[in-house]
Amino acid sequence: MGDALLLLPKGAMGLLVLLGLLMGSMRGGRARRTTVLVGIAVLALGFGAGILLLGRSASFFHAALVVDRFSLFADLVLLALGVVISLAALDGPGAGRDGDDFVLLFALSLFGASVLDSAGSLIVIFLAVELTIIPSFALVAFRGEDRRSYEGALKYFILSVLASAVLYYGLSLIYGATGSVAVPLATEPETSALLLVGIGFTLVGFGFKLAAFPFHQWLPDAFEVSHPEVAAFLAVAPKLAAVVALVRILDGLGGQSGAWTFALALVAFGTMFWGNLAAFLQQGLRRMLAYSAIAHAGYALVGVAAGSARGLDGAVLYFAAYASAAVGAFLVVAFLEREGAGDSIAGLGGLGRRRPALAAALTVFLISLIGVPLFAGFWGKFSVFLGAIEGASFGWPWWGCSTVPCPSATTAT
Amino acid sequence: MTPVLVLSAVLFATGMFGVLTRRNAITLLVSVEIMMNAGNLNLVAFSRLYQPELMTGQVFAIMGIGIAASEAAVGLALILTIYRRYGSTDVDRVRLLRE
Repeated sequence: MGDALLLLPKGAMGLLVLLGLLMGSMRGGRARRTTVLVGIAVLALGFGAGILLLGRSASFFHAALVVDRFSLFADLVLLALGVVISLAALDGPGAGRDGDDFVLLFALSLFGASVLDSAGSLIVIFLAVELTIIPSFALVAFRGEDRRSYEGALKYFILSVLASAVLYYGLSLIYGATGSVAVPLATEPETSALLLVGIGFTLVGFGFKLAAFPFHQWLPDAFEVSHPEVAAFLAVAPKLAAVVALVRILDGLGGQSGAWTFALALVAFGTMFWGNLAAFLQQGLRRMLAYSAIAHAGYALVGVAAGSARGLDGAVLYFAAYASAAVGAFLVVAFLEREGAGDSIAGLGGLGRRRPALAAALTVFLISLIGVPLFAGFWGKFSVFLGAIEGASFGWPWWGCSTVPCPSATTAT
Repeated sequence: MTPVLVLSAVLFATGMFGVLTRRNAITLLVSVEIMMNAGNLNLVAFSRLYQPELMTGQVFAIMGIGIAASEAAVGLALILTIYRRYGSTDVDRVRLLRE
């Protein structure tokens, strides 16, 4: 019974789904607003419970659901994200005529991410991945007044279902190689080609979900056309949960994962490099933040590829640090947009005079994204690279690429 | 076992070929469904190989079929809206965003 308490954070997110459904039957803005506020309070309670439970672990439903310190920490990040984005959506996309749909879809996706971060079986991993992304197609398309939003959503949809099919095929091969759907995998000591191929397909599938380098094209388009609140959510929640699930799959492999860990390191490097380079060239604030989201997933992948315990800790910690800065930056974008300001970075010139508080906040968030020491982003990067060096299979060139969109920070002030 | 794996690999490759060559959104969706079916076939075959009495693979496959259906439901709604707006479901003609 005591162990069941560990499901409280996930339960809070599940309750938000029910509240979202309830909202649909309500008329009048006031009742709906109250429902969202109740939902936010539930998430906050879940957050408190999660803090008290930190450090404990248990497994449920014949180990189909495993709550350990990784997943509890990820749940805390998701709950905090849920509170912030629900609050931001109160006067944004959650307020209109279709506001209840927005809250419901958002809650479903959030709940999916929270299941994914403690999935202990290949079946649950696949179901949770889909529960996270299927509502997000509709979320991306939610800004219907802008016809481009459907186009971004279509691109996102097609690449995502393709990735799901590849992931599904990979998971079926892993099941074939190990004879079980349990995660960590029940591997034999000798290397099996089937398993390696299966892991390869699975990594490609997750690569799409994480928008890692060769599979990143959908993300800038989806982020540019969706509500900034949605972009902030998609930049953190599905990726964080996918990283935890990926770590769980790779964890049981031991020596067999060697080849794919190297591939993962290359992908991480490419993702950081390309994301930062492309972010540098963008004229629009949203696209710049989108490419920076790609680059930051690359940093988290460094931690996964490192394979050391500290690297894995770093990867999860990295997302928490990234979340605090990126969500802030996206919400500033949302705020600017509601005031009718354009999307271009050049248009930010003089913001310091017009809106000093907003400009200061944006600067802090961007500096944290760059990873200037003492800001949250720095500690994230620090722990990831510490893990990579401890993993020691790859050398120092990692250090070279920690530059992120500087021009934005200078124009902002 | 091997013939089934070969068949599923052929299905997967067929679906992938469709995704890479077709430009109609609905055909793309159909191609992806073919790829999902390659996974279904694998799961059912492997389940027979290992523990037929547990039916793990079959359960996985049924979940996968359900997921494919819900993906199609959301996707077709999206494609329908796009058809109404653009008068086409050709993914090359639906193009306003920069690369």
